[in-house]
Amino acid sequence: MKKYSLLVAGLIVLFFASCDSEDDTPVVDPQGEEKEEESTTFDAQFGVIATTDLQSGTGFVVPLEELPDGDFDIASIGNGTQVSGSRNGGESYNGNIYLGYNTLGENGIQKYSIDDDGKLVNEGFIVASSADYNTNFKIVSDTKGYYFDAGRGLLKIQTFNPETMARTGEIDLSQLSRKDENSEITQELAGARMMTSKEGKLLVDIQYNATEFGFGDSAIDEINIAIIDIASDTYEKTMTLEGVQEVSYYPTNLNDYQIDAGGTLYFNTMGNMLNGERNGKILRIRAGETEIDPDWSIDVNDYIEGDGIKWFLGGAAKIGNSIITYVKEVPFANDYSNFVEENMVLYAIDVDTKVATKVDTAPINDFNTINAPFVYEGKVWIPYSNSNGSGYYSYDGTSVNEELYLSNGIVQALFPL
Amino acid sequence: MKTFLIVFFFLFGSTSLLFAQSNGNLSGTVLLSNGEPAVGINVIIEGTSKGTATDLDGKFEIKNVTRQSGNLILSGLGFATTKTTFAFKGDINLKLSLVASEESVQLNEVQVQSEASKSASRPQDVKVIDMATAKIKSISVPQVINQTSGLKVRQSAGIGSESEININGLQGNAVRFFKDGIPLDYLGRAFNLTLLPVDALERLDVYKGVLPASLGSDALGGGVNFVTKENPNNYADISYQHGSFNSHQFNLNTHYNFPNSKFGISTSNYFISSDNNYDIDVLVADPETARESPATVERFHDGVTSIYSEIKAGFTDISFADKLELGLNYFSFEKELQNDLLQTLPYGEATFEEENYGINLHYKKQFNRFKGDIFVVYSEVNTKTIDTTANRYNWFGEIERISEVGGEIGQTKTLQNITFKNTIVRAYFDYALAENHKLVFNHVFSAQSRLGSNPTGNTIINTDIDPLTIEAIYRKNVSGLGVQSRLFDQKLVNEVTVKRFAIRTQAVDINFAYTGDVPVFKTENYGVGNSLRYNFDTDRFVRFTYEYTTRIPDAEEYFGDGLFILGNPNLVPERSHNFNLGGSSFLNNSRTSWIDFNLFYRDQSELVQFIPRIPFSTFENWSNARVKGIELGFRNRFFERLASNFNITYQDLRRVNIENPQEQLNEGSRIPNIPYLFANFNLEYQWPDAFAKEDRMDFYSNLGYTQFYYRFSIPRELESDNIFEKPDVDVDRFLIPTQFVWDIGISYKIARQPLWLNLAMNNVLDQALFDNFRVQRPGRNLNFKIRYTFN
Repeated sequence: MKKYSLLVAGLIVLFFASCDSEDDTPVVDPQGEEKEEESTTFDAQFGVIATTDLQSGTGFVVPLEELPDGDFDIASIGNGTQVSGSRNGGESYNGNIYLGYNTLGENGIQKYSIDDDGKLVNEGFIVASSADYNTNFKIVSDTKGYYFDAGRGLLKIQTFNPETMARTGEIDLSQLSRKDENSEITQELAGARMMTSKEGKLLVDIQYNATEFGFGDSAIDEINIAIIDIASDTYEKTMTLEGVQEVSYYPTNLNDYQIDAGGTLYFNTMGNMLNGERNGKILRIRAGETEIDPDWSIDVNDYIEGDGIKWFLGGAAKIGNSIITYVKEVPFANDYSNFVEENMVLYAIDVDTKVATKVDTAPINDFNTINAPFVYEGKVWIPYSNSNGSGYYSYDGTSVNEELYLSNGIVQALFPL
Repeated sequence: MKTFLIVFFFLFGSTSLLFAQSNGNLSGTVLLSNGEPAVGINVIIEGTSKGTATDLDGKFEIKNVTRQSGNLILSGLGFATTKTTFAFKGDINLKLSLVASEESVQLNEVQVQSEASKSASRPQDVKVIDMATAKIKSISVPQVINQTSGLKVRQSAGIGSESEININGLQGNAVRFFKDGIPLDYLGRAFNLTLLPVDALERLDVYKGVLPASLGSDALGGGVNFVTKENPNNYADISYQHGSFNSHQFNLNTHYNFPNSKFGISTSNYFISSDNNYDIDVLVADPETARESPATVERFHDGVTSIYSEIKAGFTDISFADKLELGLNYFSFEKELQNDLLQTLPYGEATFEEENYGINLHYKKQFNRFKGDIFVVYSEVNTKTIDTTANRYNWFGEIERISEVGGEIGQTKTLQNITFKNTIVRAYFDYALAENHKLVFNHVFSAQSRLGSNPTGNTIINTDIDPLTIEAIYRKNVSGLGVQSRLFDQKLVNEVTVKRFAIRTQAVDINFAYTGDVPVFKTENYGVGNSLRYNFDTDRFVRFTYEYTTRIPDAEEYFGDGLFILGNPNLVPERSHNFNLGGSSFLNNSRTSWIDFNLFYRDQSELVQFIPRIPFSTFENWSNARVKGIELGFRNRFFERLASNFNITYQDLRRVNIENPQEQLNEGSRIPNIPYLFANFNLEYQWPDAFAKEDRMDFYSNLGYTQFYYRFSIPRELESDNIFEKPDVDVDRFLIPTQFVWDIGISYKIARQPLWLNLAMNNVLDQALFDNFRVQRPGRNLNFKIRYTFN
């Protein structure tokens, strides 16, 4: 009998010895790190969000004291918080981090502060339901913000207090409904995609969709942006422009609307994303204006040959006299089966001449990152992901510099803290 | 203590010799169903004084038996008296067995070998879960399975909820289900693990690696065969169970042989209903501030009602058939839907209904060395999903608001009706090549069509066509060829198996220029396996199995759903190399202590996973996985009445060989949402003649332990070397907590009556129990059961 027992025991030892031999990956010692960090006060300068598992969308949110040189291993940094839904990115306000989703990837607004060890501290979560992947929101002051909650009304804008992280009320825009005058319209949404502030006004897009599908199925060949007075939370007017469709296609993280140094709001439209009958255009609202500039646009058809579905990635980052945007060199396939391909190239498009100049030294993008170029401290920050890795470059109009490099994971947001 | 006895009679010597002589020797071994020898059992030839008692090895021998046939009576302390016929039919090395129930004196036909013992002695790694003991308890199928090493039932809530079984780390599409050897698809949800009562089953055969040639499906790493009762004798088995959460369960199983005929009728029926209104811990949003706060609430929209009925009528032992049987089955299922996958969003009105009908024909015949078994079934499964309300509920069951968007569950409202039509033909043949070699051939043809409508749902992009109105067809042919060999006086048992899988599928894709063409996809694949078992003696064995197998992706994986999931014609079948090494032995000479062990290793590639993309998601061959694991079991018997069973499973499932450079951080990471360390400790005490002669009282207790596991993927480098230590990230909501569950029960058999009463308390400690994606399961609950069986 004993020999069989020994046989079994031997097999077990052998089996797990073989497991151990492959399990030699160094493991971070949490105890050691905690002791080391206890003596320091973390001075957060940047926040980075990266997706590490494309299947589940999980990734990390990490505050950083500086952007690290070399290959940045976001998992081993020690003060990261793992979140599901990381591809939706995030942003900062007054040194706090705000996400349009919570740890589990559910819609809402999540606020984190950063403690002395550089770790995130949960400061509250406002529950919302959305017609999109995450909640669209805009903080306009220490105590006031706006967000979209489909569950509370598609033509309503919710208000909240970012300090206390509590909903405070709503603005009813039901007067903007056009269902009675257009039977093609089945769904109307306010602020689901665009929500930004300009000169004391909140600007929100109004979608008039033919179906509940939610992508590029506008029932009308025009865009509409409502203006709301922030001080009084009252609706003022709607800006309309015909011949374009679909303001942005994703809340916040695509950076599809940005205000340049001169106060002009540039924003990106997608067109009809399902059949390419109307393609993407970049538009603008000049400083001091409350109408979309009818005489200016950048048309994606001028830069991509052939028929098909075409739109810019980003398209609202402007430095100097140029829009810095990714251009997919071939149209999207009808079924978007070529959505992720390494063929998105960075261009600088002169806003006056509309001449596009390829930024040769910038990396090629494959669109696994949902983040798009944005302006920070006079430079355009360019997120990318491709088979060589992922990260950010900066571009000051003349030269391109690597700012952050991850050999593992895909960057989804970078913001100052 | 097991309540079934499985008795093997090994009759030695030439049957012709027995016939030639007037006297013969009758010998054999009496075993409990758990493999232990039944010591001290009296074995007596009815009507004579000839008899003996089993020795420490459960063996007995009765010499100079003058009768060529008769009845054997088995009796003993703690066991019901059991009677079986025996006959010297002229066979050489005739092996006889019987299955005896403890509840009543039953007369069982002598069979060549009981099916349960045949399964248990297979060379494949099969766990035979006998439901005999379970039937006298208020216990569910998942509870029974979860007490078994290497197995975990994963369920999304309570009775009637979605479920799947995890076998050595594999679950979902990797595991295939059968009823009496037939792929289960034709029965819809009738055999859902969280619904099916133990009373409907004779046993469960769980294959942990190689599926024998006789089970025709493309499982990637295991299968479950639900085996129902097949008893040629008249009987009726009635039970009723009532428990917490307004749960009711009624079972009726019968068989009746018409006198002086070879015609018999069997029925199998169950009715189940439950409110499933147990308490759960949730976060509730304030209607004004939208801030969350924790609350304990009662599930309010999770009720289930289900009816299953099956009638079989047929002939046995007629000139042209050993069995010719026609069967009809009906199933209805109504289920309220309570919450989303993560149990964060309550639903108050959404429902799911299913109704299915089936007709089947079963024919079996043995001609000398040749045996054929044909099963044909046609069924229609009608499902209805209703999610049309604009009301949005909070966790207190109150309507909190009206929503303009979609339904409670989906982005659009749903009024979905789908009819699945299933045709399955299973043809099994075996041929005895020689005394110890058998050739097995099995072919399963299955065809499923899907046709339905969802008038409130989305249409195919750029069209007005509801994708469900276009028929989807999925045809599969699975052939298996095997050779079974028993060598060296039955000590070495080997089965080599070759399988071919072929599909032809036709379904609508997301087609932006849809013109009526429905794409077709065809593919075929092969698998090979070998199972080897060496029996040191009747009580000890080692077993090694290897299988290279493939799983062909399902229709939805190839074609998407016509809406948001893009088709992927470039998918290739999943592949897996499965190795199992296991064995069993006693640990002491008195054979009261036993050990079972199993080591398993799986190398899987091209696993198909759902990949969320914008705007359309897709299925892709996304990852490779390596599974290593060990199961250990220790069984003990103390003072004949007390039995214990301890088992522990560790399974190390990890993603490996990641090719996508952007995913390298997951190299070696655990596959999330699957437990990796779990154990069970089971005690059973049997007290015969407790208050009166021939009554019996059973006490039992089961303590289950599941180590915390990951809800989402966590990089390997953040794990601790110590598996009991949490990973080094702020992951509280990323973990499914460590859990203990303690169930106890008491059963009492009324003296001289085949009547059992049972009272059971599950989750005695009222622990918060979680399962798939941390969805909570019931707290402490009480159940009462009464069961009556007669012949």
